[in-house]
Amino acid sequence: MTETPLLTRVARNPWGSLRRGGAWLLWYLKEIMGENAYLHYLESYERRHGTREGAMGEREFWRDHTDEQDRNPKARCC
Amino acid sequence: MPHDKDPDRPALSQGVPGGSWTTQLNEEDRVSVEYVKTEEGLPPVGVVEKPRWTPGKIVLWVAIALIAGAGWTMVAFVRGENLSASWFVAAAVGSYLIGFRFYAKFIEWKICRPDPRRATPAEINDNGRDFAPTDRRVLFGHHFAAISGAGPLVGPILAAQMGYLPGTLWIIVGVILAGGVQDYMVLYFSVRRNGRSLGQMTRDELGRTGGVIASIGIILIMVILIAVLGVVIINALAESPWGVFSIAMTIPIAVFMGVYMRYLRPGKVIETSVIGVVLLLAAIIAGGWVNSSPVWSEVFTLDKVTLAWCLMIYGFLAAVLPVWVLLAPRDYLSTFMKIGTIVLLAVGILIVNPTVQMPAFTEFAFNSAGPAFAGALFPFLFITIACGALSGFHALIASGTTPKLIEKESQARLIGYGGMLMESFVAIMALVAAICLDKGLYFAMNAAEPLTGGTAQGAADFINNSLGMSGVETTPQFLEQAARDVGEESIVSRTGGAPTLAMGMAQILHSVFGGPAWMSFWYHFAVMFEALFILTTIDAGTRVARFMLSDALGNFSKRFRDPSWTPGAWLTTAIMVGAWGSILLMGVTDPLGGINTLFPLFGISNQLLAAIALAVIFAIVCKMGLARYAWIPGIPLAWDLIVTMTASWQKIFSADPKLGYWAQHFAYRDALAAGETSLGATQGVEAMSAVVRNTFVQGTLSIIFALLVAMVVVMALWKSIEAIRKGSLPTTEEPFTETKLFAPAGLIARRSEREVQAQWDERSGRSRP
Repeated sequence: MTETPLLTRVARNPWGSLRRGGAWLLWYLKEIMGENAYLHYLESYERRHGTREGAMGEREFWRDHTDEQDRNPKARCC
Repeated sequence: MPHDKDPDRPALSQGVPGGSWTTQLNEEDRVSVEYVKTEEGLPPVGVVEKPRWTPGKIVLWVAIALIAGAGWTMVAFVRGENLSASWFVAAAVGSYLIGFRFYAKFIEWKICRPDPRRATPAEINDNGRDFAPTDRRVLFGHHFAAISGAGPLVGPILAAQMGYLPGTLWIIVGVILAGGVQDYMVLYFSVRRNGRSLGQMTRDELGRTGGVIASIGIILIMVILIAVLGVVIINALAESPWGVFSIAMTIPIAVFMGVYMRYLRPGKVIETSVIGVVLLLAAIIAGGWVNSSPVWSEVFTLDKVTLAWCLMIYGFLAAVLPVWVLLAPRDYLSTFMKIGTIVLLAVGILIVNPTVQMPAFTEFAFNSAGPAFAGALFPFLFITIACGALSGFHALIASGTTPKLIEKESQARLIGYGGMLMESFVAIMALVAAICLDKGLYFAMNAAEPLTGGTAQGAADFINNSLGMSGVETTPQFLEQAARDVGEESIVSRTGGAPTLAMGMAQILHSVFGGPAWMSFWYHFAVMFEALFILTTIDAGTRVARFMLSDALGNFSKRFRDPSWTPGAWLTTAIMVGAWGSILLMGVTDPLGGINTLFPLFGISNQLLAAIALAVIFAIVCKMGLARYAWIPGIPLAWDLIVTMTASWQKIFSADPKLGYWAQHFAYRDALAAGETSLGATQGVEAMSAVVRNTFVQGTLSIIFALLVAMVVVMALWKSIEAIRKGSLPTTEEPFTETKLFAPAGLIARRSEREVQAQWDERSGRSRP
């Protein structure tokens, strides 16, 4: 399997590359800020139970997700 | 090829069934690639590449070495009149890349030896919460956001009083040989131990007594840390209506965000954060109106003691209220601002490329008369820089939090060592912001009030006549203008580093964004973002310390173990707030300036915590039977012990009252006993009694810290000697579990890794970005 080098791909299709770059940045920002937490919870639930049946609903999840920090605080550094 | 003699091959756990290695030689890249499988029918779980030096790679690394070399030559040897900031960036980034590629890799090969077939705690205990496999690039960001705070910004600024070279050298050399090593190895060993915390690992490896001593040390150090950060932020906010107003506004903004996310739009983190940031910027602008209104500026002009009480009340409420009200939204805001500001500062420095004003060495590098902090270059430069080069506090994040999220053992180098390199880069940027300021302005801001009298005239007189450094001159008009430029009444004696950084950032950013009219906006923007960092550390730190205390009290009364027992939560919070609050009050009322006496205590406690972490790593390496590589954690451990113990010794025993807490204590006590009413710049019996009291507390804390750490280190060495005698000792590594998961190791996936990833994506029907 051979891959086209990155620069060649950018030169061939600059707008597509720009769009993909933007989408990547948005994905990264969402991940860093924790917006995708519910998605990851569902994925993890599916890995553990083999189904998404019985997982928490979105609203319920976010409530639990925040309250978890009450029970399990994490330190921030200097 | 006999596998067990191959130095690059990861240590295979013994007695494990299954698993296979397939070696392929890719002729085109001249890379030997090994695909590691654990289960037939699943794609490979790991790719081990044995790098070959191709001409292209050699050219690349020679170029990186040349860039680093050029940077160091300009910074360390040429030291021209118009030295520009970009040479610092070249020296730093070039050195980081070399350290990461060669030294961290060396540690990986010789000590850590990640096993591609071994499952990490995130995979084994996946619960979608604190244990969850997380993309390495995302975890890198989370880890960096958790370890970075105000520390690496403040320390280098104070260290700039000795000139730029000592600070630059230690920040870069220190991170490669000490800070990165500590973070990487603590993270790696915690991953192998189910993500256990530093305190637990100390107990497991050194025994119960060692664990208890380490835990007491950790709580005490946390208290000091919070208190000193509090002093830093109060120094930036005192008598500044603009700053106080905009920081005060963060509370209603956070509560609004909390309610918004809880009831209106759950899970809309970015939307909420963007609203929060817009409101925050509005608050900074509105702060300007408050500042110019005679009525409102009166309301928001608060003195240091009032602010200290506000901070304590705030800290108590933030720790007992549910997190969704204040802490969680503030954390989102703080993360958002952290990313934004660091990117902004990096872009600013690269575009503006300011010229360095500070000389390579000042007189204060060779004596101990510097106004920003007391003490000679050795050991106090290392104590002051602390976080940017080596930070013991990172060991608390690198154990306990991050190891429960990592997908592959091989990623620990990127996240632990790489995260610390980023932190060091932030420290270099802070240093650049300080050394590009006018020297007179820098010293006027960083000399304590007893020296300058708090007025522009007093500061100018001090700098021109008694600073003790040649080539620095200033006028009261210049200092007044500088204060007007940033919308402040005065910038004289704004010690603590944060206002100096804000001034430096304002100087750099206004030339890119907005022009001179925006100086005051950028100044208060920088103050605001530092305050956000520090307040987040204070809330979260108080909460964590409260949990540690309830855990300890749980040994005496079981009810304390239940975190939902309100009286217990309130009592333990009140104790922790009382502990840091009393040191905070002591710092802000200190007749000798506060920051210059307390900051060394902060640095010492942070570096002592690093000594605990490095001692535990050292013992583990010896127990693993790898004593011949024990020098890797041994060098930073020995250096850190020499630095911290010398500093503690001087703080406890030095006869120079400027340096030694006890010398100062007895000098003031004797003066009081002799019926005198003033000593040096301290006027009045009350102020003198305050010095007697403060030095007693500071001196006692220095003794306790040094003793606690010395005990842990002795225990670690004892264990290490025992291990060396017997060849090795059993460690507390968790048993091997086979992985069923694949993830690339480095920041950018290699070609072979992308190919394997494609096979997994095909299997699951999902794709990774």
